[in-house]
Amino acid sequence: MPEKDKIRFREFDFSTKLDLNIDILHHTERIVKGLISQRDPSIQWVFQPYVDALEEMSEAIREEQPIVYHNFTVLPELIYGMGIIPYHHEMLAFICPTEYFAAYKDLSFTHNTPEHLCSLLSGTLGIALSDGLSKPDAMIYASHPCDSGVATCQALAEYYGVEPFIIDSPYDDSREAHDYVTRQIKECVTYLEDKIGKKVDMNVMREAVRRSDRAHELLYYINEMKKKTPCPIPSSIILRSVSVAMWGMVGSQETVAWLERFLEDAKERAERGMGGRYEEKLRIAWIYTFPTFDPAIFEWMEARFGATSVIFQGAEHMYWPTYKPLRRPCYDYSLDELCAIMADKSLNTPMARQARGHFDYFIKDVVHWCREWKIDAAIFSGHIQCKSNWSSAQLAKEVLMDELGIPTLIYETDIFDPRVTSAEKTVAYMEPFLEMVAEKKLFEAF
Amino acid sequence: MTALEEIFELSSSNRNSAVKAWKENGGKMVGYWCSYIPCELIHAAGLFPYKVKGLNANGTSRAEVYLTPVCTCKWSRSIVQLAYDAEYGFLDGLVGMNQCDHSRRAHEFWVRKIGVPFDHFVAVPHKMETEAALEWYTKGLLDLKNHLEDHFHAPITSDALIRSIDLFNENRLLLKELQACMKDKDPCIRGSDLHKVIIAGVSTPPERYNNLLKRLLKEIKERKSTTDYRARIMICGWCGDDTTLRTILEDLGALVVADNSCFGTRDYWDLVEVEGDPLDSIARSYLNRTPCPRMMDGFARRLAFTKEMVEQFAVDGIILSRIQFCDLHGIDEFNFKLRENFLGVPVSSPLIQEYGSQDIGRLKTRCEAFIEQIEKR
Ligand code: SF4
Ligand code: SF4
Ligand code: SF4
Repeated sequence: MPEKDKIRFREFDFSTKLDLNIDILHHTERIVKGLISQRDPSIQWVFQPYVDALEEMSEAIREEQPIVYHNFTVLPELIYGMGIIPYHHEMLAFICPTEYFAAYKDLSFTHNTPEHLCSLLSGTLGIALSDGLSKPDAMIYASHPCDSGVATCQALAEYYGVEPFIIDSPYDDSREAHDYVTRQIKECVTYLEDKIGKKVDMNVMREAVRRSDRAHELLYYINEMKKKTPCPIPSSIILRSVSVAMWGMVGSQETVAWLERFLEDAKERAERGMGGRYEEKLRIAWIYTFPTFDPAIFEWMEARFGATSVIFQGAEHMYWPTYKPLRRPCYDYSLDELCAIMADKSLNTPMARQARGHFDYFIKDVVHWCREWKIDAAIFSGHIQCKSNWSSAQLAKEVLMDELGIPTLIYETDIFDPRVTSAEKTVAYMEPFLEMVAEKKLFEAF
Repeated sequence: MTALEEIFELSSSNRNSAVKAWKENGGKMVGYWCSYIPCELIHAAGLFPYKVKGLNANGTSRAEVYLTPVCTCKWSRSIVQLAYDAEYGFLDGLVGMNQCDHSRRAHEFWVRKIGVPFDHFVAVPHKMETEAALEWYTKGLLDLKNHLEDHFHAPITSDALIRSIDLFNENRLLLKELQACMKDKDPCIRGSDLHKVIIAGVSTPPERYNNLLKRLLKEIKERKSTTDYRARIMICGWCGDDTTLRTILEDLGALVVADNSCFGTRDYWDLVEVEGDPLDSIARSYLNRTPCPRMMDGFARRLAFTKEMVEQFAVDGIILSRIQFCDLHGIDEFNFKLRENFLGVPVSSPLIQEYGSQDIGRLKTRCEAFIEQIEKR
């Protein structure tokens, strides 16, 4: 039996009508914990960020803390720095069971929301419309990465009748642009003080920023390890966890602890020369998004072609080509300095960095990563609602071929919703492409 | 030729008679994508500010190589297609901005793949009313001013700016006077014609346009007014330079009496208030005008504006219209539907248009159903 036929893709049941007016937070928490407990104990740590994020949301409610929403490009360190737990409303849509996610997404359309909004945000709106979210006391939204965020902010603000704080994103990467965001983050601190009724404690803010810096540093080392051949990190299942840990919880001690464990694991694997389960023959970059609904897709790539998914531009690289790990000697920074550090990270977080400005940022990053991580082929899994980056895909393909001789596959999908492009269909797109890449590599070897 | 006939000519093609005349006289033209780019700045440099449109594009296949039809709005694609087909060869420059994900990429591809002698990009804030945003926008406009001056060797003096502000304010006041005719029980101009007046305006030098508007105002007062209509409609929606929806509604016997749209009141409703430095005044006035849905803190103002229009123009119902893939207007529709009771008149469910008059049958059915809904009240 060929290896690929041993891979079992996830089966979903979209035929059952789900009750959406449930306590989706606790329902998800129960399901997630149950699923993790069925896993091999040695890998259960991989899923810890899901548990942490859901528990934090529950804690925020239980402790009757002010509920503060933030979109994913507003890094939550700012909220931790105010001494409260951020409410991960978008992460709930990201983590909840796929069948629920799809149903929430569909529900939002029946309330006149546009079907072409990023489905992550349609799912979030669907949960809100089913009373699955706690009503926010405050909301912080940045205008990056895309129109979907701009739109969702307005919908949630109007639906809940909450005045949001808006961080306007500049288009370029100049000093002035960073100063502009720094200034707004500082204003946001005042907004939060007002909304949550307490003054910023500088020591708490410094500690949150220090933890976030440490998390970025750890992620930097983790990603550096991926330059090794074979790539020591079997990315498939850990990817989503990184997104939750960083976008949802950066600034927390939980994220630092988890990334430390992640790095240790990667080091150990690297020292033993371990890659994934299958021999690495091709190194793949997912430029921008990747299908999140079934890790078996990545396993299939490895089993069938020895194609290891090494980098994931739109999710995992919480650092940027000019980033250097910062061991700041001490954290006695002023609020202005802390806001500047936070602005830097917010503007460079994945998607923010590649989607907010000129397409050249996206293209340059693609080339950088593919070159530095010795990539053989790139895949653009075109999330059908992702306007800004779909428009960069063809150009990225041309530039990758011209500059690095790397071929790119572009296909249509909804990265959260398998009803659009199932795992089977995804691999059907990939098969002829990866065959071609494998042959090319073989040919070049001679 | 009557003023209205002249307007129809000016609004029906991109390279209209005003463009031809301007170019024959050796004038330079700078295109811009959106009314958040102040035409006063371009005009004060002695240039003809020209708002780009997607009119009469021959498909969008060339544009689609980069601007995917999977999720890019057809209006943006149409404009780039026209540029590929050299229909915008008369432009000496192009000013883009971060309107939305579609048009900003369209601008970038136009500049990169087709090319234009002068290009500039303004990062317009997504929020009004804060000092930080105002300073950022003012700085952006100052950069544009400097770049225009350098490239076209045309100093933009404060006096020239004031003259341009006056000229465009006069233009806005004339358009408001025209729009005020719609308050009448029996208006002397149809909404679809008014839409063409506005399309013509952004494609004509302001001096000529103001004269034309004055003539038009005189002429239409002598015209037979529209008395026999089924409902008074307001259209809230997208950037479109496509009159199809208005024409369909009026062919069905309704009258479009008000709007909140980009080739509509958004283009002219708020005047530039001069207070101190003219560039600062432009920045302040533009940033704080009645906002469109790209402004993240703008819905309350837009809602209040819509309510005011409903009352002033005795609107019977609001049509929410957008083009496929437009998230910004799409979410506005969600918000407007939430506030239907406050608005006090029926608000249609979102009416999604295919740019370029391709789905007239479906639009007709939807419009007819909405008019009947109003009539049954
Ligand atoms: S995937 Fe694309 S559409 Fe979705 S949030 Fe990111 S940039 Fe926006
Ligand atoms: S919707 Fe706003 S940004 Fe877009 S063209 Fe209209 S005014 Fe400009
Ligand atoms: S219609 Fe919508 S999507 Fe198209 S350019 Fe205008 S704002 Fe953008």
